[in-house]
Amino acid sequence: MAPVSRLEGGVVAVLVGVLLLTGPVTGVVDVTERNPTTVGDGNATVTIEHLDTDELVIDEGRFGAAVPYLRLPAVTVQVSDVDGHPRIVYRIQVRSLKIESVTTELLTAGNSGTVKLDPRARALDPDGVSADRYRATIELRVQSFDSDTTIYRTNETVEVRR
Amino acid sequence: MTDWRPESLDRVERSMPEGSIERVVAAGRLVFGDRTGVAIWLGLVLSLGLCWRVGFFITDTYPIANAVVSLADGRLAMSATDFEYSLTLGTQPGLHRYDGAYYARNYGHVVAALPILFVLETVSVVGPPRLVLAAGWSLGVLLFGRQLAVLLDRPAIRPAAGLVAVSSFLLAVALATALPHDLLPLVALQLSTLFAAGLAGVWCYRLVALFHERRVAVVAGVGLVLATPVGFWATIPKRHVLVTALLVASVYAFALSRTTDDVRGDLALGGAYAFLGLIAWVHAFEGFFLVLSLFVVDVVTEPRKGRRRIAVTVGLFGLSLLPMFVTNVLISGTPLRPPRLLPQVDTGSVDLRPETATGGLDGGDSGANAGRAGGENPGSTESEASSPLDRLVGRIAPVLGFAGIVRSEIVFVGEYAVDVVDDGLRAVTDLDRLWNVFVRRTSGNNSPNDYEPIDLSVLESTPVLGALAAVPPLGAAWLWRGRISIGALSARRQTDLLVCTQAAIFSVVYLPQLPLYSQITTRYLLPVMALAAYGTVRLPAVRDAINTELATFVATYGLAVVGGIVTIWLGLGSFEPAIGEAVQFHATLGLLTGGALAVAVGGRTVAPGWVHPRTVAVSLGVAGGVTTVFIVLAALEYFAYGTFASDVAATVARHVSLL
Repeated sequence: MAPVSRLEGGVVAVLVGVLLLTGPVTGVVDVTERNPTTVGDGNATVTIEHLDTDELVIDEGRFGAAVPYLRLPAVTVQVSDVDGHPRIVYRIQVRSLKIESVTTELLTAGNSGTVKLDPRARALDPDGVSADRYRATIELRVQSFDSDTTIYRTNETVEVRR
Repeated sequence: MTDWRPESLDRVERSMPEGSIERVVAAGRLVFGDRTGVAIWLGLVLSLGLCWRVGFFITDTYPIANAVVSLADGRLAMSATDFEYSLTLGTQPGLHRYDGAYYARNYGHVVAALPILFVLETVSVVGPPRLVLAAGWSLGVLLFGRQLAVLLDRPAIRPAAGLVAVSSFLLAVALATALPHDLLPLVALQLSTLFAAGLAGVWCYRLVALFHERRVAVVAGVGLVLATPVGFWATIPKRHVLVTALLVASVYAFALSRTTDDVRGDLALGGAYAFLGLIAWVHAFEGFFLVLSLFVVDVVTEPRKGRRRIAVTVGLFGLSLLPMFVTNVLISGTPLRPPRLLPQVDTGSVDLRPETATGGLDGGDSGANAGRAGGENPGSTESEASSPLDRLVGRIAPVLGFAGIVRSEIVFVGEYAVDVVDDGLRAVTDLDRLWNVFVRRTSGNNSPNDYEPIDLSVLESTPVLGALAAVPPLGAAWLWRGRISIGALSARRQTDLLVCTQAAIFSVVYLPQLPLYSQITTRYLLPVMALAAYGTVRLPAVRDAINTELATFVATYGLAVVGGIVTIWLGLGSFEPAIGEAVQFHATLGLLTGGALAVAVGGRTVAPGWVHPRTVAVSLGVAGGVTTVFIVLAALEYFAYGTFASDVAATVARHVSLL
């Protein structure tokens, strides 16, 4: 039994030790610095790899969800040369339905390569979808506190499938 | 009961003052009962802690969290500049205004979060908040391992738990993101409901253990949290889980009071009332009707009470109401008028201007009295004394005035209660409403949820309640045998009567408001679902299945949870469902498994020869697993808000995208 107690004591010592080292009292290391969660300064090179705007449609809900849905296409981008903490902003807007979908992905030096932004489908007011097609704006930007570059911007038609 | 006291405490004891360990152990025994209770609590809190998002799921939480911040600073009344979270009034439904100052409601809940906030603030002086939470989790794993090692007689669990504790902590350090210090009051509020959810499980275990086998009690305790939406609301700091925990505690105390006549029984009966008195501090409306139901059942089943029993009960109940009275008097000057009945700040108007809360210049008073509080406000009709006679009357007026206020408040509450029950009884005859609330939710206004059909009925969210299909035949058989003498009911039958009465009254008073948006799991009825879950283990067919087919039941449940999560991730994920579609998929699962369980338990009850206990065990495990899967996926995938308390969970959720 004694070695187990010692093991548990060791675990507690590790917990207390790490807390002390990373805490405000000693402030030896800031472990949260490496994993930023908010946008900062910086920039990145981003190119669109895949975006199928034909997927932008309005159809009926499935699995018993009795409302129409606006389906939003995913976009896959190639990210390189990440400097600082910029973010990708993927925005789809359908003004006449009062829908604005914004999906963001924070970039850090570590996550170069392929990044996928996949916005969720949006439920619509069943009584609000009266037209057969709607106009949408799709926009992709790289944004930070010191830069804002629009990579892609297009107007699309949203087809209503009944 | 097993010995609760860990053997290695002896070493710690030497370094502590005389008798303090005994007091800690006695306090632990009072709350948890035994080592199994501790293990249930730790297991529930640790597992639900992984699904915990620090953030505001629902806007109602803003004023409560703001009240925690203010009260921690020693202020009960809030001014607009005190709001830590959500600065505008329009985004804080449930904010009330009286005499120019702002108040939240549910102060019992606010106060429950304060000691937790105090501990968090203290420990955060040493370590960063994010790692304080991670360290707390790891410490919990260590303790959980110790309990399990003894309970299951498997010493190897202890070092394994140590390994899990240290590796998860180091992983948390590697993945650590900043958790702003400002969020600690919200974290404390969320921990208060998480801890309460665990306690609801413990007290359900203790309640069932009074009457039935231990294994049934353990399944009931864990099931109450993981197989009902209690787990869903555990880290969403609404009143529901807190009220549910206190209600289960009250039922347990009542049951205990019926098993013993000594002073322990008297204290238990007083406790049964006191827990409900505390509910009144959280939500006076719910507390009132629950106390009323308890009183009726208590008097009917035990009409003759000793003087000591009455004195202890009245004393404890009175004590439990004191915090509510004091809070109400401090806010509005009237003990029986909770903040909820004060004028609500209109959520339609978003006013960014800073308001001065001092004096009557800003029109706060007129606004306060013009609200929809219902009836006049006795607290604000002070007369101005001028003549000598008036001055004399003025001297005794506070006493007379107070009595008058109490009398008029009692009349007000009484009329209000009659109105509510009257509306409720009318709603009971509305079959369409009953179908929507309890079975299949199809109608209702979804526009406040951005038109997403994310609201589930009672059965859709809690398929284990399908087992209650066996109640009508059992009840009929019981009546047929003609042994109905309410005065001579056994302790467990008296408890059944209490549970049924409270569930019925609670449902009736809420029915007029249902179905309602943003309920997700019909959350207003969460306490009813907890009582109903207790009802399922009172069914012989269910107990029989757990007793004889425990291994099958546990294996099925585990398989349903793991298999369900993986299947839904791979299967449903390929359809890229919207949130409403995903929730409706769970609704279908709930109806199917609930229906299957109803057939199995109903069949086993009516024709035992036709249905094997193993069938009941399997359908019970699957039905329970379906709710657990919903709880896990709802937190990890469907409802994205705030930031995960655990960065490890956040990383998993990020890489396993379903919607």
